[in-house]
Amino acid sequence: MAAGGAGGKTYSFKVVLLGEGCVGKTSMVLRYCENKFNDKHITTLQASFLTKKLNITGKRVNLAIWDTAGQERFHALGPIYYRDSNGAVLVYDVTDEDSFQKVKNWVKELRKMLGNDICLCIVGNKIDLDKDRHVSVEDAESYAESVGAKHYHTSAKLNKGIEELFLDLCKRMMETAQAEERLKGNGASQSASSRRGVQIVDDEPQATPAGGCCSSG
Amino acid sequence: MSTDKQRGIHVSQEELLCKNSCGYYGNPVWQGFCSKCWREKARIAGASRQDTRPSNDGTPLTFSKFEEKKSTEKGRRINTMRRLFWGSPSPPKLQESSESHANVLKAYQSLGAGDFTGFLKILKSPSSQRLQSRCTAFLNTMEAYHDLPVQKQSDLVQDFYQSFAEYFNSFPEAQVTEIMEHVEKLIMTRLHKWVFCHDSCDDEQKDLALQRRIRSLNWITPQMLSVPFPDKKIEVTGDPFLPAITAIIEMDAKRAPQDKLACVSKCSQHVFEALSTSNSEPANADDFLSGLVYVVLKANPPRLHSNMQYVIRFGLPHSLMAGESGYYFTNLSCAVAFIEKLDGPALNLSQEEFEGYMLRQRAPSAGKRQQVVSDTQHLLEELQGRQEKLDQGMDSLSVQLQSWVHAVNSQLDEATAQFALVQTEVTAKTESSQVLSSSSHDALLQGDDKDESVLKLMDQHAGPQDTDC
Repeated sequence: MAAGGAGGKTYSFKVVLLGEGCVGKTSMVLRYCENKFNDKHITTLQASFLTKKLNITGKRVNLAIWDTAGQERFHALGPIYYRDSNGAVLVYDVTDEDSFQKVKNWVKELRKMLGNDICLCIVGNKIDLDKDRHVSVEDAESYAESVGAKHYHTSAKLNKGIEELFLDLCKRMMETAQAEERLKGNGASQSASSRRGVQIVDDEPQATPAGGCCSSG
Repeated sequence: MSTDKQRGIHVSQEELLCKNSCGYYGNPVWQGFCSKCWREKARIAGASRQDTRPSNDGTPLTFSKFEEKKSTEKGRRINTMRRLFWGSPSPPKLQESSESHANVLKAYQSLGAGDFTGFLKILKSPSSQRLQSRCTAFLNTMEAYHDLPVQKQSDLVQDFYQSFAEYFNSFPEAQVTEIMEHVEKLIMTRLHKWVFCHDSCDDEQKDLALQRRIRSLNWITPQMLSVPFPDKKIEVTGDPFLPAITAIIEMDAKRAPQDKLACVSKCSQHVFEALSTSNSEPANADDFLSGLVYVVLKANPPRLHSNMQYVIRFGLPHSLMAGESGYYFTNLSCAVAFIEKLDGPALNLSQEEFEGYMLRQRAPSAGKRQQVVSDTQHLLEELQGRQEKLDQGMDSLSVQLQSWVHAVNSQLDEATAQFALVQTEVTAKTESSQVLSSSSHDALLQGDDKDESVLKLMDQHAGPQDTDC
């Protein structure tokens, strides 16, 4: 939100990566940020926080991609992760019906907590395994449309669709940020309230978003 | 009004009186002066500095306003104070001396990355006196009002950051961030003792509760948390998470929020390194969070809740919202939330098993215990070996010292013997010269000559001896 920066300055966006364990989140970000897949020469120790600098129509964009813990036992921690994020990439495995169901749950939660300020992308990964597909294209796309999200098909293995996905997401986040700036006017008075968003109450994860978030409505 | 005040608070008369001893009452906001004396002082200071306050006719207005509100509740008082000390971002400030302003900015722009001492030097230089006095005034205000609720203090500090950053709004963002980090360090190192784990909130209780909770969970193994853990290597390398544990414990010792955050980042980096020993692929968020939970459980960091709240309240919003340190801090928040809500299913245990462990009816299996025992024994033996080595080293050092003392003593003896010899020689010489010399010389003068020659000779002999030692 406030991370969007003003005027001709650099945009900084936070994008959370949501999805079940084996849907290929890690492979996807590594492919995007390092252009590598299952490679021994991957330079980073970790794939949970990665950044990418972009230049979109003459505007500089700093993209921070936050991987989130997707295991069931960490489910309640979601709100702590996606607080103040500008975009969310929800990944499912096209060969795994359950992972698509999880994405639906995430979407519900995100819309409830963050409203329409967040740009949602629903991503069907592993299209190289199309013959084992268990989630139909039509279902996925119509669902995405019904919740105001965009749908993409990707393959981290074949490096398909990933670049486009993030570029598109960035453009949409920029539009949102610009619209917000226009709404705010000069925006100077608003900065104090945006700071409020940081007041994390870490011991009550489910109570915070209800009262604390300034973006709803 | 002032008599009322005295009756209410019960402070000695002297403490309340103006420092100028004009007979009126002083106010901590005005550094202990009364309104009149303070105005006088501010006017003089303003005239000598020229750039402190926009104009003199502007000030009385603010002060009369201040006096009006003196009796009202604290919150409103703060608002006035705010206006007073860091002023509203009014246009006159920008116009006043654009040239010196530009000079100051240039100095800050040339600052190297992470050069805190350099920053302090520039801040101390006369050209940025305005900024410096702003910092000092703010610190004084905060110290005078250190019993305010901590949320109010947090607001004050954050407002200060914002208004301070506006001064540098012509800079590129990265540079502003850099400067603001220095400012944060400067301010918060001073304020730490006033605002950390403040009386007005229940941080201390929460710290204790969290500590107890973590202690009650000490039976959790890495396997239960499904942390990727190198099973076979454990005897050789010990706990691979040890550096991470040390780093998170260190957090309590730091004062500035950014230093505390740096400890969290360092801890996280160590977690990633530890994970990489048992996992060839880059760690994902699930591995990382499990690792971090394990580290927090093992470390039981002192005053963890207070430390995190302190960073949230007084840290720069930028470093918390974005960037790598923000990500790591968020994960730490997640780890703490996870630990607080932890139950059986989260560890792949049934509810009964979990209860059993919590009530100490169950303990880790015998094999596990034996391993722990042998590990500890191993560590103890190693420690004993090191202790023995240290003792040996000490013994040999004391022997060396003694022989050295001996050597020095013998050299000294030799030197004194030589000196005595030389002295007898010299006296013999002077006696003979006395005999030879004519009696026409004045006795006094002769005595002086003699002394001088003796001294010279002594010097000549002392020279080579010095080099011997």
